[in-house]
Amino acid sequence: MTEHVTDELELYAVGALRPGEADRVTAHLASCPACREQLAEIATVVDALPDMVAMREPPAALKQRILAAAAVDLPAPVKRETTWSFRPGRSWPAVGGLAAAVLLLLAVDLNSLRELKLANQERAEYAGTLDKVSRGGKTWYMAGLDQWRGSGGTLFAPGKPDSTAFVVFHDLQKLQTGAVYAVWLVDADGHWVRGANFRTDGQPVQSVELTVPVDTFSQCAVTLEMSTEGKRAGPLVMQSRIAPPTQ
Amino acid sequence: MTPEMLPADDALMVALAAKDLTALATLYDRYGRLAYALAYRILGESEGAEDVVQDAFISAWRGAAGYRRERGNPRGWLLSIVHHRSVDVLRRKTAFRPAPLEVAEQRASDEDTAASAERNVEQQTVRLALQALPEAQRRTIELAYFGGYTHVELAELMGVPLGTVKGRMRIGLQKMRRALEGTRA
Ligand SMILES: [Zn+2]
Repeated sequence: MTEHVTDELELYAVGALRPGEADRVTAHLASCPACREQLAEIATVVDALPDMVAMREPPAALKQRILAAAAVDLPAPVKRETTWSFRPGRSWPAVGGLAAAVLLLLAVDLNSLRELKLANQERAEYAGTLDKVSRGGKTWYMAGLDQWRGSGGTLFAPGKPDSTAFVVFHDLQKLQTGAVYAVWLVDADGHWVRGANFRTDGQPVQSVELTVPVDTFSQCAVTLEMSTEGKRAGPLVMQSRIAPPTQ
Repeated sequence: MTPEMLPADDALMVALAAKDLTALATLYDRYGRLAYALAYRILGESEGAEDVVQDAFISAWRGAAGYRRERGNPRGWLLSIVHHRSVDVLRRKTAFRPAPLEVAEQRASDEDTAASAERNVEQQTVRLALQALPEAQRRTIELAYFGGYTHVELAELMGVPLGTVKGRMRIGLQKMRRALEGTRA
């Protein structure tokens, strides 16, 4: 533990320390219950200071703006959740073929003319691919948030336990050098586990395999990251609940 | 800041952590006005104050899961975010230079007497406790908390050593605490 910061606590509480000095106090407080307790006493006075300010009505629109901004963090509504019946005797083709086949599904979802055209070109592959998707699996659609509106991705979770889950993305935005999209699985306790990193390949549709099974997680999300490992640090690109909330 | 309200605030934090939008709306109904008034008092303009309040509530919304009661009650926690961000914005304005003392104090007294009629007893108590302090201590607290001045700037502004600023701040806040405790007991 660093030296006690008793001497700086009043200045810290009113925000009169310079940034570097304040950081040092913050760091010490994290590991020192004695100084925290002392700060809490000082804070009872400092917290009362706003009371002497002249009351002022904020514009009515501010509340709506705040709520709208907060709503962005909520899981995107589940657009589709389909269960197919298991049909034995077929093997899973490569994921690359899947992307094209799944186009048709997406076209129905997104009602996009361009994608419908592409899907028609690949119709031959479609029938075969549908099988792969159908092993009692489930899908969830993640819609792009904020500046990523228009992008999206469907998570396919095969019903077969040892099969790989994958996400088929559409209309992803190109990335800056050094940036990657990270696919995350989030459990009920809020732990984020990185399931994949990828960059855009320039195609309107792109599929990405996940390295972890999805069945123990409650949400799937995509963020923009500057590193292929480590904790989630970047903005949320899209998200969907993939299991009913556990209470 | 009535003690009876604190459990309700704590419940609100739990709901907030569970991403309940109605809890955020309630938190805003409860403290949005005070948060805005504080930000406006520090920044002196409405647009910046709105941005700060929005930032602070979103930050509370996202940080609610990490909130711990020992860091202060939810009201104090929220207001400290508003204060911190307001001062941050004020300091980052490139044009910001410590204003002459008289200007800063003039603004302070104009602002704070404006709506005194609608204050409750608790609010009057805080004002009285501050006003009862010796001039130098009161100014040190006001200019730091509402003016965004650092202790180094205050020492320069008031022409006193750093240790004096620290001492005035400490004694001033201690006296106020005793005064507030006296009225709450
Ligand atoms: Zn300590």
